[in-house]
Amino acid sequence: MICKKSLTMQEDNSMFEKILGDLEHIIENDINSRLKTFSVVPVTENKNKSPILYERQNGSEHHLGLESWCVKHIYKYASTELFRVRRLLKKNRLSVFQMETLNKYLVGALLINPEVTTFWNMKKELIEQDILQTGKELLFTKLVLSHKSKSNDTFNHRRWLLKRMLSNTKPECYIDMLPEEFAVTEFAAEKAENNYHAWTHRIWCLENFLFSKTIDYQSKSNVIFEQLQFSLGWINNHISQHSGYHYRQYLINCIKNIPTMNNSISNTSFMFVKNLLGLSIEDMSNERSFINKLLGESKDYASESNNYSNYVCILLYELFHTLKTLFCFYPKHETIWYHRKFIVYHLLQWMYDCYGIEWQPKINLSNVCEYNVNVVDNCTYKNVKFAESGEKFAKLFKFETDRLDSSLLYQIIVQSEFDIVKTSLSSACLHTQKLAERYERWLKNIACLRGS
Amino acid sequence: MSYVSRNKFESARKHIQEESGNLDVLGPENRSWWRQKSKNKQFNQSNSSMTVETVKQLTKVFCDDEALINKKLPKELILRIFSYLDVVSLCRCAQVSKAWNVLALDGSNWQRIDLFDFQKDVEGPIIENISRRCGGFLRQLSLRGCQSIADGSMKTLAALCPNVEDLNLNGCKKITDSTCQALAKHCVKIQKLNLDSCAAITDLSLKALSDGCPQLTHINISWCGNVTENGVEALARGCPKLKSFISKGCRQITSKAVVCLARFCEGLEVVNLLGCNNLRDEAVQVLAEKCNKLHYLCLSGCSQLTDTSLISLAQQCPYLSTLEVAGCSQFTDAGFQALARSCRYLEKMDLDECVLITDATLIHLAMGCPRIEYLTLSHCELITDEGIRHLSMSPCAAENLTVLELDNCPLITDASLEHLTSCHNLQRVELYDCQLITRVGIRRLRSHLTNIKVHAYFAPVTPPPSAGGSRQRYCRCCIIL
Repeated sequence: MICKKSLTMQEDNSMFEKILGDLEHIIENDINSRLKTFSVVPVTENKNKSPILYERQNGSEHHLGLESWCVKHIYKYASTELFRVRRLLKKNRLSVFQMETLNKYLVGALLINPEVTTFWNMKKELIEQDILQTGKELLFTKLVLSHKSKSNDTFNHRRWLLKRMLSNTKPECYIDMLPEEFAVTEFAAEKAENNYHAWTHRIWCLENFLFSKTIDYQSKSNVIFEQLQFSLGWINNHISQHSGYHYRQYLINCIKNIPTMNNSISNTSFMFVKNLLGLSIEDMSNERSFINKLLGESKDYASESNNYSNYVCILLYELFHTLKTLFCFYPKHETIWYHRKFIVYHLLQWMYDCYGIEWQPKINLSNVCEYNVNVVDNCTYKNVKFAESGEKFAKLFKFETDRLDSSLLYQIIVQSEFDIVKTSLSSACLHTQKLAERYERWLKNIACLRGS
Repeated sequence: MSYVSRNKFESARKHIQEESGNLDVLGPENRSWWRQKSKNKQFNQSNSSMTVETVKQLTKVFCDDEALINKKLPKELILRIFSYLDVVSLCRCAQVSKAWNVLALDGSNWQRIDLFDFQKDVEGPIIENISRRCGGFLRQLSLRGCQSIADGSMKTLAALCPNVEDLNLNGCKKITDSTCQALAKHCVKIQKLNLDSCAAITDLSLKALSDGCPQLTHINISWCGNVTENGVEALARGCPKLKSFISKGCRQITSKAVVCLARFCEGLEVVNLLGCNNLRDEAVQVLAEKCNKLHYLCLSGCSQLTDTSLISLAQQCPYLSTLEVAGCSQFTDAGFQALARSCRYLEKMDLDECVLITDATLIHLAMGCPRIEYLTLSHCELITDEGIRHLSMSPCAAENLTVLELDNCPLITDASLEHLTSCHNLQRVELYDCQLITRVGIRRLRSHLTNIKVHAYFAPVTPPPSAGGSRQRYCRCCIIL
């Protein structure tokens, strides 16, 4: 009886070996790497038929499937095999022949369950031993992401691979790696809602590939504006996925670091702001006159040296155009309110920076002792923390607050925000009212907006 | 005591490999003589500073002449005993005492060395030390999988060990033509040379070998993609004693090369030309005509061959026992009929993807080849139950047939399995992707042949969960709580 049992086990094992081998073979030898997706196909009956489904049509994408009956057996078999050799591999005690056979177990186990960091680490070890190639592995991670789009370990492995590739490519060519990553992350984000990992990966790619010193400002700004355009489209289609907004907010922050503005989007926003504020072309012609118009006449703004008009234009355009349209169509979505908070916060932050006032909107009021420090240095006011216990918001120095309050930008923000709140409060929908109430509280207490 | 501390000290160095059975033995101990001397000195100095006095005491105790075994046994006998030991035991003995070290590491004990188990540790200096130790004694050396071996150490080996007869360099990827040139220059007696997967090898190597090694009988140049017909031609001219020629995956080998090989080396018995897809019928014709002793032939992947090849093989090579023709899709029943009539000693046949063959081939094989043990019919889509019935009634089925591969034969049904019950020796049947086969049929076959392995895509039967047991455990938990 025992003998018979072990015999059938051997038979099963050779079947698993064959299935795993076939899987690896297909992935290795897929022509032109057209293999796009992998998925587990639910089946009820189990005929004597290969559980691997491989769909190939001339000129289109290839698809790979695994019938559900074998999934748990394959995974169990592959993972026991892998854990058996895990230690030996780590200590580099496996022969090259043994290491070459390891990949099929890794492929099988990771396709089914990519959340096992140990397996990815084994892959890394094999790559470092030159048993596996980085390019093929990138394609493999892409395939895994088509099955489990939210797998953080897979993105992590992909980043590791990309870093490895970076060391072999010239800094000028970094930017060429972006389109592929954009495609992968977009695909993953489409597949799973609120795919935080995909968007983080996208941001990581921008930070590592785009913001290297060798890439000139023009191509940087081109990529950023292109991405802004893309993310606008994304937000319109996925209105309540906050991950998408987060990406857009990251992009807006990126603009701060880019001085050039020769772009259709920046031009649109530029013209929009001009009409909105009723400025003349001369006012917009240079940085200083623009800031003077917005913040009131003065010669000594702290951050005058920075070229911020671009940033401000984009923020204003976002607040008064993009958000306005979105809000018209989808008033019940909380994400839009959050995005609004972000924009308002950053506009205010910029203004306070310009005036040289330290602005700490989230101060814990009860703990801070009462002290005012006022440093007058070359007519620049630098005010550090103010707080009065019991008061809900930080008090600013009278002179500065007056200037701030009277500035064009501040007034326009105050007016529009409280208008929005007012119209929302009067809407019939209870949910919208609640959101508006919350926003109003935020405006008053956190953003310290002093309005009507 | 000193040896304990010495081991500890060495284990602190990187080289020791714990936990890996035999490996650690060759690791640290042998380094004392395989590694270069400068390292030993370093080690001795730091070691002596630790235990100068204990070493002094111990050398007295272990002083060679005082040890009892050395008094009783003459050196010749100890040497004789050592000659029966394997590499690992020899290395252990070499650590016992100075006298034993000399005896254990005597070249005469190291005539045949296989370093496959230590492939990751073997580096250039080790080979150099081995060749220095063994010198003329070395006859057989296997360095399979030792990837860090390069030309320099192999040149030293060739110069110091002129009597090497059998050298296996399978997978030593760094080796280039200059190794082969050095071998050809110094090792005239070389008979067997395995250069499998040494991808840097070119025609120059084969030319050098043909000049320097006329005794060569076995050569393996599989996966050396740079080898062309010129190299093979030169080799054939220079080494007429060649018995075995293996060149898997050398796509540049053409008909002309095989014709030369056949003309000059009539004693060829083993020929493997897997994946040489430029080969045409005339090459196989000449091979069959000249080399009548051929008993192993692999032509898998030579898709241009036709029945003409099979017929000439049938006429000229009666001793053929293994024939692998996977992927030769132009072969038909007529060719195999001729083959089955005259090659009565056929034992192993691989007919994978010979898509044109039908039941007729099986009928002829069943009648003509009583010794068939191993038969692969994968992807032969025209095979039906009728063919299997004939096969199972033949004398070969009852006596010899042990492995039958029928995967991807879509017409096979459970009836075939019924027929196969008469094959008493059958140990393995492959039935992957035969969609007409059912679980019931397989179960019936198993009940007749208890030791058979049936390979098919059926989900393993999970034993029914023992509901009673788990429930009981739950109850026990409740009691404890």
